[in-house]
Amino acid sequence: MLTSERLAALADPDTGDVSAAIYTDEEVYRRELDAIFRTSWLFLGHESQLRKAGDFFTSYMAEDSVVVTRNRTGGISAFLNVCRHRGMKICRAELGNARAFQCTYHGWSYGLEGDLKAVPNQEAYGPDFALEDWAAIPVPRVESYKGMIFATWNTDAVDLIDYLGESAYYLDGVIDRLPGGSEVFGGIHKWVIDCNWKMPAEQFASDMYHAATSHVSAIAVNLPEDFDPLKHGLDQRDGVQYWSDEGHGGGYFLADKPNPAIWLHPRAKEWLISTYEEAEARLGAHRAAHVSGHNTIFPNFSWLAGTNTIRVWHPRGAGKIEVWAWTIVDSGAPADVKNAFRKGSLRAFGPSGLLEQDDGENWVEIQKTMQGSVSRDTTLCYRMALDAPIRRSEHSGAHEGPLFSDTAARNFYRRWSALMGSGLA
Amino acid sequence: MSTPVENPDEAFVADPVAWPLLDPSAHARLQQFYALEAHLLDERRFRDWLRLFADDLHYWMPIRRVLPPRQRELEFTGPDELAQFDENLAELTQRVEKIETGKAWAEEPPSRTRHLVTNVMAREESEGWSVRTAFIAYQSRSERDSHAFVGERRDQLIRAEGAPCGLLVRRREIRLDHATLVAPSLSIFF
Repeated sequence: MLTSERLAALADPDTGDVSAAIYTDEEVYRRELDAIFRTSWLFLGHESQLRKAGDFFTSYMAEDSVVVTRNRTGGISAFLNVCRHRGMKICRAELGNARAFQCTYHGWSYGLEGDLKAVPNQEAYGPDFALEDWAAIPVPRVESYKGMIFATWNTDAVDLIDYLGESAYYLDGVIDRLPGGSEVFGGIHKWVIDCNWKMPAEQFASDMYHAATSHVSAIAVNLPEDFDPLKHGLDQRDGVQYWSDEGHGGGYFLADKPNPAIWLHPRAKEWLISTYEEAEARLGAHRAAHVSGHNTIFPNFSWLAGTNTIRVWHPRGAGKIEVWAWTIVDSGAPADVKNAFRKGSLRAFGPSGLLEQDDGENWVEIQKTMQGSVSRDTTLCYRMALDAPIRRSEHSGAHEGPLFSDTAARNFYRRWSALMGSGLA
Repeated sequence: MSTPVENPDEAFVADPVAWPLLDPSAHARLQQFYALEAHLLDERRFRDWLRLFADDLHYWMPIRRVLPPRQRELEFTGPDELAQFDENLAELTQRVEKIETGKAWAEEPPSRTRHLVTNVMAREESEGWSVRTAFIAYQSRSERDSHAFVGERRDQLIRAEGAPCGLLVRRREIRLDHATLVAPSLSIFF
């Protein structure tokens, strides 16, 4: 049984000792669904997916399917995609435009805000039956940050802007570079990886270290002839890792002018450089120059600056995830620039992506290996930069330290342990 | 009163104008072309495989979505939307170069693949052929991982002297039958 003592043995954020069992243990996973995913803000999608009244898409909050709509008053509603009659999915489409959703089992119909509008043969339920008693379960908190729609089941949660905290500063560097903000392309990459959700979430929070080994082949075929490794982020000396008390984290290379990742499409690189002054006026020099880097908002939302992939690691059991990845771009960019970001993103970080392929391979192998009795009891080493000096960022206020470091991962597990341990005997 | 069918075989062709009955030699030539292509892929002769494509290639695999009837025409993402592959010849070649480094971990150790290409329907056009085929691309990896990708390919082939079977692929649209992919990556070719 999971106890405080057992939990403390699973992950010690102070020493950096983490048991591989956190990736495989079914009891840990079942508790995560409640303790982590019912308390935290989760990313649902982007407002540009809901341009007019009646537009909807279905999304997930961990394993729970939800319907997200642009309602009649122009606001955004979200409700559990479960019919109150027999539990059938109310909406079976990924996206569309609708006035109402009719369950395909017995025909109960729901409005854009999840309100129950009609029940066939309603008189048989008797005079006391009231439609308003059987609305779809609403997602109680839905808030947007600059077009990014998040939601939580936790009515006591802090506001989204406070939850994002210092991370909003880094997120702005991608979604709010220029006037007009940003939008996502049509189409979401959705694919299944047989690994625990924490592997990718933690990697995007804390791990610039893997790139030179995991992605060596992608780096090799993208190298320009005048390649200088010190200028292109294979060396940690000019990098920063940041993390926040909410469990978020990220890392990036320092630069005094935009230095886009080598795998970006040439036209996209050009755009980041040619709009630098405008972005600098809006964001300040520090962020305007940082056009690459990895980031996670606890628990399972991540993004990469530059390639502009934003994604959710939906858990599907202890050993499986469904990745949903969108590509985001400056709304005001000309068509050829948008196309360059679209192609660059899907060719680097879509399921076929020259970089993405390598990560899935590692995570799948880890998950399989950790099924062994001895393997899952193995202590994994999260000790990098354990004693490195840390400071507060003069820009965002986040904690920061050296780029090649497990500190943001330890911090991720500190937050994880706190939520998991709440109320445990 | 029904119209008598003059050629009973044609009654089985759903759209005889779009997809006329192929004469056997044309059918055999297209089948051989696709068998050769599958062979090169399964033997991992990727450089030779690249020689089957025209210089102005567009190799495209849109994303498939689950949509309600009214939006059904948007089932596949369009050219301005995300795709699984969206490649010109240089970009497709770069994927081969990645594998050739020997450090592309999703293909090292290499996948064992078998490409089955069948159900050839074709229409002759001024520069070559418009062809639709069905495929199964089976991928076995590592000790016992396996994935089967199933779908349709829509090819535009052009006649090219000296090319294998006298044909090159100028445009390929790959329509997987999968919406959410049940695989950790698309590291093989289609």
